[in-house]
Formats: sequence, C-alpha cells, structure tokens
Amino acid sequence: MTKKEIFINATFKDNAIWRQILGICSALAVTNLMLNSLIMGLGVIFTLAMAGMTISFIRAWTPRSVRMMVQVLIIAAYVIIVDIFLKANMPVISKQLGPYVGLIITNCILMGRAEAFASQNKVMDSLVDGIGSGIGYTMVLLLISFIRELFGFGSIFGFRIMGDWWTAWSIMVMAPSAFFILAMLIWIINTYYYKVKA
Amino acid sequence: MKDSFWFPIVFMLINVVLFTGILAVMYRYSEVKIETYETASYQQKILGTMAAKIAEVTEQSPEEIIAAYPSSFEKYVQKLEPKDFEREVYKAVVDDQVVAYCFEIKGNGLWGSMRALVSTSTDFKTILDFAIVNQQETPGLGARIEEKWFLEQFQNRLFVVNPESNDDVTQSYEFIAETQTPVTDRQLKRVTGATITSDSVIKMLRAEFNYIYDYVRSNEL
Amino acid sequence: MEISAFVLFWAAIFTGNILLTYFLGMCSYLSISKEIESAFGLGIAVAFVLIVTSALNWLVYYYILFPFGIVYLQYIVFIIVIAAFVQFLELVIERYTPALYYSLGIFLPLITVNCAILGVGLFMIIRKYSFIQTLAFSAGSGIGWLLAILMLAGIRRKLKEKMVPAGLRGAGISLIITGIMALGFIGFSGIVQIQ
Repeated sequence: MTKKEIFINATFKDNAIWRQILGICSALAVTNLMLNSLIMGLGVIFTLAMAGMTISFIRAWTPRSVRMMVQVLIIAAYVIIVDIFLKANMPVISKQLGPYVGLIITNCILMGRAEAFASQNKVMDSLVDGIGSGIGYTMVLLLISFIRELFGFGSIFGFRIMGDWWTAWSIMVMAPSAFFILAMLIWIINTYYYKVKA
Repeated sequence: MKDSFWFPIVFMLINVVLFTGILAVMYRYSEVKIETYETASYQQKILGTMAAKIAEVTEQSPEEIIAAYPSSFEKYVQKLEPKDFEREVYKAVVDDQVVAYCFEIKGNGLWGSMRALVSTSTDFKTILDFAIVNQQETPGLGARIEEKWFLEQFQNRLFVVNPESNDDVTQSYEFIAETQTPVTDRQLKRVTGATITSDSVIKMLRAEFNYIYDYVRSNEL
Repeated sequence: MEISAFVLFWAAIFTGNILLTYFLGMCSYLSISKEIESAFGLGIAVAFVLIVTSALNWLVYYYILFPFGIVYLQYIVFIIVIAAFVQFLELVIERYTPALYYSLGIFLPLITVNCAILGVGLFMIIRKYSFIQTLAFSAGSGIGWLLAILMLAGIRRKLKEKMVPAGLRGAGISLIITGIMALGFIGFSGIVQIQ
C-alpha cells in the first residue's frame, strides 16, 4: 500500500468512529462545544502519530507477553510529556488541554491503532496511519459538535449566531443526544458512502 | 530470545525506566517555570475576587486594580497565618483598614478535587466574589462551572444566614434550569447536564463556610 | 464517607450505572453486543478485571503512591496495573479457552483502555472509599456494566433485523437503543445520590 492509500484508508474507509466504533466515550463527552472537540482532536492526532511511530520502531524487539503494558506506557508517557511541555511553555493552551489528559490516555483509538497497525507495520507507514486516523476522528467530532453546539447553545466556536429568539435545546448539551446524532451520521455514511443495501 | 522468561521482564523494565526517566527530567526542568506561572495566576485570582471591594474603597475601577498586578497585589493583599486554621487565607487592606477576606477552599467534584477562592465581607457572612482555581470536570459539561454567569450568581450573596446555629450556619439551595430566572434568593441556576458538579460546588461552599465561620466565632484571624 | 457498602453496591448498578449514567466503557460495549453469549463473556471479563484491578489499585495508592508522595504518577501507575493484569488474563484465556479468546478478538486488549475500569479507579480515590467500599463499588459497577451489555444484546436479538433500515443495522441501531436506555436511567438518578 502506498502512503496515500494508507492515509485515505485511515481517514475515510476505516474511519475510527463510524467504521471501527472506537473512541465513543470521548466522542460523547466533549462534543457539545466545537472548541473542545478541536482541542481533543489535535491532542489525539499528535499522540496517535508519535505513539504509532514509537511502537512501530520497537515492534521487532517487543515480546508478545508484555506488548500491552509497553503500548499503554508509551501512549501515557507521550500524553504526559505534551502536558508538561505545554504547562511550562504555553500555559494558556495548557489550561485548555489539561482536562483531556485522562481522556486521551484511555481513548481506545490509540490502543486500537497501536494493536492493529503500528505493531505490524513500518515506522513511516504508522506515522501516516496515525495522522490519518486522528484526522478522521477529529472530523467526525467536529461534525457532531457543530450540530450540538448550534442547537444546544445557538453558537459556533463560541460565537453566537442564532438570535435571541432561539431557545436552546437542553437535550443537545447532554450526552444522550450524541448517541442519536452519531447514529444518524452512521446511517447516512452507510447508505451513501458504503452503499449498504437491504 | 524473545521467548525466554527473563527477556520480557527486562524489556518492560527498560521501557519503564526510559520513559519515567524522560518524564522525571522534563518535570524537573519545567518545575520552576510552571510554579512561577501558577503562583502568578493564583495571586491574580485572589486579587480578582477582592478587586471590586478594593475599587469601591479606593475609588478606582476593578479593572485598573487587576491590570496593576503585581504591584497592586503587594500593596493591598496580605497573607494571614492564623493558628490551627487549615485553609489559606488572605486579607485586603486599604489605609490600614481590612476591607475583605479571601479563603482558599477545597472540595470534590465528579472526577477529581476542586480548589476555589471565595472572598467574604469582613463579618464573614456575605460572599463578595467566587473563583475556581482548578477543577477536573468534564470539558463542556461540568467544566462550565468556570463560566462567568455561574460564578456571578454567588456575588454579594448573603451566605451565612443562621449565624447562631451549631450544625449548619448556611441554608440549603434549590437548583433551577440554566434557562430559567431565579425568583427567590434560595434558587441558583445549574449547569445543564452537570447536576453532580453543580451540587458539588454548593456542597463545597456550605461545608467550607461552616468550617470558616466556626473558626472565626471563637478566634481572631 | 458514611455510605454503607451495601447501598453503594446497588447504587453502582442502578442509580449511577458506570455505562449508562457516566458513559464509560462504550467501545467494547457497542462492538460485542451482537450475541448474548459473547456479550456475557466480555461482561464477565470486564467485571472480573474491574474488581481485581480496583482492589490492586487501592492497595497501590494507599500503600505505595500516597506514603511516598508520588500521587501525581497515579494515572500512569493505575493504567499499567490494569494493562499488566489484562495481559496476564489474555495469556490464561488463550491457553485454557481458545474459543473465548477468538470471539473476544481485539477487544481483550481493549479492556485495558476500557475507560470504565480507570474511571472506577479514579472514583474510588476521589470519593475516599475504604477498601470494603471499593470492593462493593467495583463489584456493583462491574455488574452494572454486565447488565447494560446484556440488555443491549437482548434487545438487539429481539429486534427483527428486517425492520431496521439497512444503513442503520449494527452500530447505528445500538447507539439509538443505548441513548434511549441512558435517558431511562436518568430516571433512576433521583433515588440515591452516591457521590
């Protein structure tokens, strides 16, 4: 597979959320505001790329019996490194990212891609796959949060666009609404992208 | 080699040492920078909670006082160290006259602990202002307790209503939806989708006020 | 905290269900809910890992992290304890019940990052549970998770596949069912507040 194919695969064909159904917890938790989704997405893209590369690099030496511990350790270490770096050098951004540290470590996309791709493929391929999966994930998060923020708060990225006449839908702010929106999204994708027929 | 008994253990150990080593070194080098920044933002928050009161007495605007940090902090704010009192406490002094106190309070939220600052009038009964120092609630849900409209609900609120009571000097509050308008002074707006976090804030304030008020009834700060 | 272990156990199943009120542990829940048998297998595995690792993490926290003042390493230590235990479990299952091993597939490693397990670990620390309370709470959470996945698998079996639009079959309809169940569980939340 060429790098381009790997990228397209990771972003669209095997999209982490709508195809592999991974990373749902965070997709529910952070998608009521677009800004939160963007920050979460960037964190995940970075960690996926770096952890993917590292895991792929040491794959030849990693014994099967401890691979999970090693993968988790590498993922957690990268997330915490980013956290410390931002805290020291970009405190304003760090304040935004801080609460996501736990969410990124337990995001199953990271472990899923490490296990399914990085532990069996070349270093550069894993980097491309990591970035692709991350972008695919971020894209879906932004799409869901666009709908939730628009109806739940009447705003986009915090800028109010609906007038005062707009009554916010509280259900859109709460987590269950994300289930329904995500289900609709999967329905549309299955019908028009994968052309699933009865 | 990969299948021997010792190799996996040694391999895991090398990884643990390597990565925790990197973390420890990074942490050590960044510690000072992080601390400096955190102290500054903490002091700015203390100043911020008492700025309105200082401004009222000195006939400035609160924004001017906040903008004049750090000199304004040194000029007006003093740290207190009362005996056997287990909270950080600061006072704002203008012309040798105490105008407000600021307490650091602690409590638990949904996911982790919360630290907040609350400034009170000199009789310790009214909340002047309230600010969150740190919390670990869900971004977009519970974390919205840091939003202005939520915190402003506590400004100039008489919080100690039963000063004589031995069990609870505060009163209970009732939460209403974010979109409603309170009709009595016992109603507060809750963050939509974050009932537990909103409850935790009130619980923390009530518990801490009981502690503080109990102390100041029999001791000097 | 004075809540009795008994109340905590029941509350963790119903009023504060780890999956349906806190939305933790979604990924494996959605993927392994097609058949009741494998859902049951995974549910038992999650519950088992949850109870054992919560107990282990409680001991690690109060006897190692806390006395040595390295509480800030909590995340990384907790998740390594969980990973180590799952890894151990994987080797055992692979050896003794290969059938279960193949049906769980990639989701056995994913138990490690099942956020329900780390979530319970963080809850027990922040709510200052005693060891007994932790056992009750993690047992309740594990059973609550098992209950949720069994309900979903049961509903999906009863649901005649033909009645669901083609594109919505599988993950889509599971999400909708879960959303409705979650809304239903909000109704329980008024009974006991454990927090």
